[in-house]
Amino acid sequence: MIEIKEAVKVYSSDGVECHALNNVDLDIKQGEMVAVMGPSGSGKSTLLNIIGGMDKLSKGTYIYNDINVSEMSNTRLHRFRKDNISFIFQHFAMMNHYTVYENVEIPLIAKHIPKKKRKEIIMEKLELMKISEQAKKYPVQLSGGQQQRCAIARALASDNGLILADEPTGALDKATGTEIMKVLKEVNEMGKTIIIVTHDNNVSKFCERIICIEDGKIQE
Amino acid sequence: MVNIMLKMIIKSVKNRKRSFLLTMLVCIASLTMASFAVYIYENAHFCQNVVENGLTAGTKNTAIISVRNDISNEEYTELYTKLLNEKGILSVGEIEINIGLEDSELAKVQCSLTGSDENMINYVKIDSRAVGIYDIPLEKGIIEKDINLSENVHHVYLGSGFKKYYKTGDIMEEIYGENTYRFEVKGFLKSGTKVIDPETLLSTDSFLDDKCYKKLGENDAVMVWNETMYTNAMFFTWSNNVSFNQIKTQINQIADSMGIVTVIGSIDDILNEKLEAGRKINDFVNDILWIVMITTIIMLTCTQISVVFTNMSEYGILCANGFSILWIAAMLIVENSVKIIISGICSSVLFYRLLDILFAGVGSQSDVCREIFIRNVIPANCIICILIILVSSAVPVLVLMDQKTSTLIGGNDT
Repeated sequence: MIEIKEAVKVYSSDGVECHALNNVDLDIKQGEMVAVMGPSGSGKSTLLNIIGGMDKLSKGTYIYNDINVSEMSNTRLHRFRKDNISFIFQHFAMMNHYTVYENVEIPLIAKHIPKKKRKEIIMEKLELMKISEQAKKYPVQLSGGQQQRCAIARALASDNGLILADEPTGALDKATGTEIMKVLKEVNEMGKTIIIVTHDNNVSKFCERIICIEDGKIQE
Repeated sequence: MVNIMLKMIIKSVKNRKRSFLLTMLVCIASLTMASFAVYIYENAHFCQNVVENGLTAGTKNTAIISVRNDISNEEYTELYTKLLNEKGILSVGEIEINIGLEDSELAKVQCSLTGSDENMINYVKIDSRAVGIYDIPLEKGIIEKDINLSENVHHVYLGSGFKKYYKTGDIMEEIYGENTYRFEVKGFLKSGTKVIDPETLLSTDSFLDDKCYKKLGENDAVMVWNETMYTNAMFFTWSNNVSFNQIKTQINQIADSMGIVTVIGSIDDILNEKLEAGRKINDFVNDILWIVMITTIIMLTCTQISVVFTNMSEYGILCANGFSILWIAAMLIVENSVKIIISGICSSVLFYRLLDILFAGVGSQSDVCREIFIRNVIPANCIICILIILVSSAVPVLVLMDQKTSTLIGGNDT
């Protein structure tokens, strides 16, 4: 599904170059649940941004399902993200003035899904995440775990093959974090490929593969 | 999708209605300040343009004579005739502003038009020999310049409000004391025409303001008089072969020989003198006005941009969930446009109302205000509004394109 070859990402700041990724080779198969671990500044968020199409490689190739993502223009990258990738963030990334229902609806509006169909999909995903009764509530009225369930429901609603999670349990207590990881495991078992960036060993236990990254290089 | 965008904008604005209203207040105050800056700048030149455009040949080779001592009608007529026959002088003519005509047919008609019960019409009276000096545009009819002085019919040009009652060619008779006058309607005036008042222009006390002219409205009239009016103030024009100083010397000699005290002023010199007096203040004020204008625009734009920046995490979430930069740019433009347009309308109303209050105490300049407001202030404000909408939408979008989505969602400062 994902093939990254000889990937290099260099950031320049005030004339100083920083190699965030240093000749990275990575293959991830469809349906895998992978944890990317490493200390701060190791390049794991950079790798996630590259895979998610939010950043471009300085050198190397990134192939996603036979599509060469590394040669895409910004417009095509946006379309690529919309059609293939969903995101889950550490602090949930909820629109606080939207209800749970409306938050899950966001990616469906972006994909121009008709209103009736949107309602079916939203209610299905909310029930799957066991938060259908919270549909009319606002994120501030929910617990951290419920908000993250809402974020996962939103990621599922767009029906994209790849879910990227950046520290999905970072803002949760241990028990809630474990609960969320179980939910993500269930999502993975539905056929979704999940890549999780974390430095929590309790999270990586749920993943079938762990990729360690340090100083921009993979140490598997 | 337009409906969806509008709903999203409304939800977003409702979520931060306090900051939305506060920035609107900033916009209203700033645009009002900019309006005043434009108004003050234009006002200085407004009356100059009126005087220059109010005369057929402009102000070139045109001057005013004012008789300053009491003279008999015969002496006045003699002076007038000598001036007309003087070498180098092309034309001489009198004008009187705001002549009252009581209990006349015209006055009665004007009362019915305006709803007034005063039974008096104020009109402008022009000496038939001076018709060529003034630029009086007509909506209908022609200003006849070669009028036979022996005719006992005076020509009258009426405001458009009189059209319901009169047509070109109508003749009315008015009796004043022992005299009967006949007036023939020769045409209808264009509304808004301004006629220069020579006495006020010559007065050393008055600055160049709206007292220097009379603006003709739809219920006003201009009468072309076939007799000497004894106004004590006349316009005259002279040929290019002589200088103003030569003409002035010639006229002074005539007046001295008759024991008449006159004040003579070339309109160009009068304008320059009055403008120069104001110019020393004006240059300084103009610089300040430019600074005020530029500061206002920068302040307004930065306020708008900073408000948008506080919303960047919302745009980051939309980007992460499939919305394009173009969609977000469109949302920004729509929201900014609504805010700026409403502020622009409110500031225009506020500005106009403040002007009314400011000038009510010193005697109204409402005509000048209205003209400058429509001709200068509104277009200037429209340009400022468009500039602010474009810049305050473009800058955040450029930042959005440059920042990573995760950084935006994280709420990091940009």
